[in-house]
Amino acid sequence: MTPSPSWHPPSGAPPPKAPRGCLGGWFELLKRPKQPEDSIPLRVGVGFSVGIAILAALHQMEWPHFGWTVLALTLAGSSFSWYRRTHSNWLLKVLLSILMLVVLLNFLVGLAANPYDPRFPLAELLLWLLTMHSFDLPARKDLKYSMLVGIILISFGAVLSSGLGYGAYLAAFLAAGLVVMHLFWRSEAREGAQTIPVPPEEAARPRFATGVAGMLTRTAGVMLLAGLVAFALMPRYESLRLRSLPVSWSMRLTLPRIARGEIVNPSYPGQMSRGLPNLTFAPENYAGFNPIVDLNLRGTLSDELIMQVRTSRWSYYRGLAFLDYDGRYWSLSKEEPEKVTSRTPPITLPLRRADPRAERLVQVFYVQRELPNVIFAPFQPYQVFFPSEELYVDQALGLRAPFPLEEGMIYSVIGLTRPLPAEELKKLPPIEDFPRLARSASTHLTERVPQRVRDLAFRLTAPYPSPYEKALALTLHLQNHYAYQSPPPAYPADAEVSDYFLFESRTGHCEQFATALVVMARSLGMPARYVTGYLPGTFNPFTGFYEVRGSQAHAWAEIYLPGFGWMAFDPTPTGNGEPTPGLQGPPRQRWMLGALLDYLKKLVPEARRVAATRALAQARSRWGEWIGVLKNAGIPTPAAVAFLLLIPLQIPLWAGLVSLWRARRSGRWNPLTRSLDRAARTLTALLREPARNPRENLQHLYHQMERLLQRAGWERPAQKTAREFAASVREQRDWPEVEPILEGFEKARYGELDPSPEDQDRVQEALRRLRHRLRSDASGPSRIPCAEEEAQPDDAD
Amino acid sequence: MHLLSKDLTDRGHRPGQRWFRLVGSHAEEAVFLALAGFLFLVATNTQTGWLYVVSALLAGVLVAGFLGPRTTLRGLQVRRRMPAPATQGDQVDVEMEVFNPGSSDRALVLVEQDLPDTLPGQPRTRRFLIEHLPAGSSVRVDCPVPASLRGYHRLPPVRLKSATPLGLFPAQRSVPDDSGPLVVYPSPLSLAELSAPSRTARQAHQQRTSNRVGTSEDFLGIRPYSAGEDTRFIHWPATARTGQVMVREFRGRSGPGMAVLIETWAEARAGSGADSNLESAISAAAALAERARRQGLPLTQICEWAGQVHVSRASGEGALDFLARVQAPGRLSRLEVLEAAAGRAPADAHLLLLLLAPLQDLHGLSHLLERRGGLSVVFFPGSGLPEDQQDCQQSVQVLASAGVHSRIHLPGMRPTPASSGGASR
Repeated sequence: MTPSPSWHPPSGAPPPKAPRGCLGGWFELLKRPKQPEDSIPLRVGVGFSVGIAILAALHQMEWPHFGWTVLALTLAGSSFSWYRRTHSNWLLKVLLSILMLVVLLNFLVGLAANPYDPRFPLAELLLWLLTMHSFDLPARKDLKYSMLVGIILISFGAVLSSGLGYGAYLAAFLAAGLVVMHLFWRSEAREGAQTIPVPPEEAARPRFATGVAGMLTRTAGVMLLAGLVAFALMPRYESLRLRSLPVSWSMRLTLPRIARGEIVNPSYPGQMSRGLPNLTFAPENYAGFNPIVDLNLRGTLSDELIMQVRTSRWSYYRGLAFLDYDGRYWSLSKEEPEKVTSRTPPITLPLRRADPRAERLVQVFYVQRELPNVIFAPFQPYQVFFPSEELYVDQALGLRAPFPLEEGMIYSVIGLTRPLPAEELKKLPPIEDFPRLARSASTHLTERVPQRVRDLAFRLTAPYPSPYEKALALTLHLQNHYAYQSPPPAYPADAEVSDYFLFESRTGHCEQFATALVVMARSLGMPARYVTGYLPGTFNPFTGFYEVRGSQAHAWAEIYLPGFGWMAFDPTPTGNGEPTPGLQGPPRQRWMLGALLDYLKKLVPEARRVAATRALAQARSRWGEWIGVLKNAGIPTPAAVAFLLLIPLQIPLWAGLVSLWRARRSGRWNPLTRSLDRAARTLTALLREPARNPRENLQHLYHQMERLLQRAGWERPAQKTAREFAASVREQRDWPEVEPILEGFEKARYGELDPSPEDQDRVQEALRRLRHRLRSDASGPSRIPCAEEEAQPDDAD
Repeated sequence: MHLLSKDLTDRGHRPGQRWFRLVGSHAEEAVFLALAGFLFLVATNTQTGWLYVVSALLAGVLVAGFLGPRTTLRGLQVRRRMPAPATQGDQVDVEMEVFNPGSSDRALVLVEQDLPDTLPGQPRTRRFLIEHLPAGSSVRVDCPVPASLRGYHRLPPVRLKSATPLGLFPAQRSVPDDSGPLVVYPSPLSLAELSAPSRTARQAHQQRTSNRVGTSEDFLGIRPYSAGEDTRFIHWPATARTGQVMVREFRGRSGPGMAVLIETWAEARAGSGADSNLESAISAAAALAERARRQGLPLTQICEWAGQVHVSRASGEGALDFLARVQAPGRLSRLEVLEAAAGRAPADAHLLLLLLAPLQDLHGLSHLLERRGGLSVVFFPGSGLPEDQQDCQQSVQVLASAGVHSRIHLPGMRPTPASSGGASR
């Protein structure tokens, strides 16, 4: 060991105290230099991390023009602050304060231009702040502030992000951040202390695993593990409490208008006319978003991502509602839709009844592709934040935009929902109490619907008085007795769709199911309408969006319950076996980990998932049976659970604890490596079945016989030879199998020649027969063999 | 930063103050926690999965930052070796060896050694940074300690501190050890300044009082044993009789020797630290011990502290060690101490009293004045004030009239390091 140099006080003068006083004192404060940070690796690390954060944010903002300026300036600023770290730089600080005001002004201007989407102006503000701050980084504390802004920036980028790819930026920033934190600590530790240098022979021998790089890697591992645990324990509250409802406001000026609220579907242009259309199926956009829907149109929709929705609770997205049905075609109501305007968002829809007990449901739609001018919204929509000053609302509350939806459009809808428990709904008055409803357009049923459909509807709902139960009965019947097939088989062109579906084909997809439900409901006098829209989509826990694909276009029915209002029912079988009236759910998943697992489950093919669910259900019922058995025996449930769980676990648990305790007492313990050693030894012992030579084998077989006999009650005392013992056994039981085994043992043990394979076979056969015999002969020896020696021959038993 | 701020061991006066200080010293960790919480709230509001991930990872950083320093410090051993006794005014190096018995390398371990309260010096904490401590190896750290005051100084335990690898949640550990105290001998006054009672005066005393000049085998009597003496001369019958260890006293080979009393009377002490009159007296005694060692004279040192009179007959380093152990103030009264000195000093050794205050009167000190070996006094007044000097002058006159030689050692005569070198290094 080299002798250490003599100690000297730490270098660097302490910072001078700031004098008190008013303005002059403040000016002095500005001028005084702080303790400068000299470490170049630290500055480079901070610059690198901040650079990653900037790149991440710029990427999410899709590379605005000022982005390259920001990057270049940040780099220049870092170098500048390094060179000028010992100066007071008061002029620079004044300049930066002025520039900060300029940037703030710029932010406010940007906010005013698009008041409903503050994200981009905010990101720009953060970026400029970071850039300007990078010119004034003399001390370590300033570098830490820089890193803090970097963390905020990368979190901001996460909010703007919409895909899994953001994880790469996050990982890079995290790795750089760990290194930077270590460098911060290194620099802080050097302060005020004399450094003992590394002995030269050690410095020349770098080792990854034990060096700094290894340590940081291990730290990263611990961090990831702890982070995973924290992530798993995080609850997921599905609610948007603070409302920032973004709207792509600037788009309203650039798009061409559609007059009078007609529906225009970009995949079916010009194919719609006042007469009956002759459509060719287009997979990009669902044909259900058209003024007229042809139920016999067959095809498969594409799986493209249509839109991403951020919502406070999952729900179906309602598009259009159709009232007129003629057996094959659904058409929108002929009445002109109402125009609703507002100069600034939101556009508030006139509701005939504002229910004070209603809850708000907030959804934000990020449109990914060109869509028809239907505004998808939850039911019932109340306020729409849409990039236009007017909207059209038709009689069935279908919202129509004045232009088709474009890629990149963002709009938000606030809906009102009033969830009622089923008990309340069952108490609603029957339909017969409202004779006026029979004359409304949504109750009118074409004569093409045959009587058997009406009879079926009547028969299914006869036991139920209330309209809710009737609707539910119809829905359940459709779900459970008809098969889903997409695309469904072709129906004859002149057949009435619901009749053919219910009685002939018995298979269909959502359109046929929905049509059948609407027809049957109308036949009972309940107002019903046919609704098209989208399913909730797949929740992506990384981005927080529900991803809706083109193939998730859907049709369902809405039925009017007098005293409550319109309620949606989806009769299409989903595999859950239970209908969800209202089609809006409470929060589904409580924990982030659960949401993540749900998402990953979607990657597993359907069949395997169903089988696994079934197996799990069986196991759960079996478990429940066991608990029930124990409960009948009088043991309460928690004790029963503990009993069942811990019985198999007790043995390894105690064994583990005892071995740990013993190992600890012996002083040297490294339980992990020792148990790994033991496991390895056991494993190799198991895997490498040593080939026994014949002698060993026969002896081994003999010992097996001894064990069998021991279990049956015959124990060989130590002073007896094998032959004597066998003789004593044979006195009790005349078993012929003992002799060959004994012979084989003696031959193996004392014989000159190796036993032949025939010997081995014979012995093995004898052993097998002995085992069988012992199993059937349950009675043990009549006397204990050991006591045989002590017992006097002439004693009476 | 928080690592270099003072310890949290002192209690806050108000209940909240302690928590405030705890959070304040862990500002960085608090920021991380707050940020994690804030991001979680934002994530809940916007339902962005990535923010949940960032928030969870920040929590993970806190956990990793907590475990790292504890792992770094675990198992490290520190062995501390005190240097050989030093002389006052030296700069000594306390040797510390930090050993890493584990199987993983440690990095960035701070070793801190506080100066004891009894030693002045700045800065109070000496800090060393071990950048890299490979597994199974040790690093030597030499911590310079200014031995500015004589005495037995108990160094506080060495502290190991680390916040590797992330700088969060610094861990610290005190390493207790039994390395013993740091012994600092007093530095002797230069002999030019202090003139011992001249040979003539001593001889005059001898001729007056002594008539037993003889060989070194002359038996002078039995007296209690004092520290540092040769155990060959223990008189066992007397020991059994009295219950206290008694030794036979012989006259030393080269002469009757000298006995020095260092007064530690509490009310007479003046000045503080190295400048006090007691320290001057001790420095004088150190010079005398040095001279006795060189001339081979037997030396007896008498001093009272903690209510007990301590006597030492050791010579050379043992004498300096005795002086190092002197702890002011004394608790017994002046008269008691002087009587004990008279009793414990060898009968025909010349008794030299190093007094801190003037002697007002001499009654009750008759057996001192009529010692066979002779008596002389040096006064060490505390301040340079004329009043003190006048009192001391009066005492000198009083003593002179009783036939005792005395002088005054004025403060301001600073002890210079002994030219021949005091204790060995």
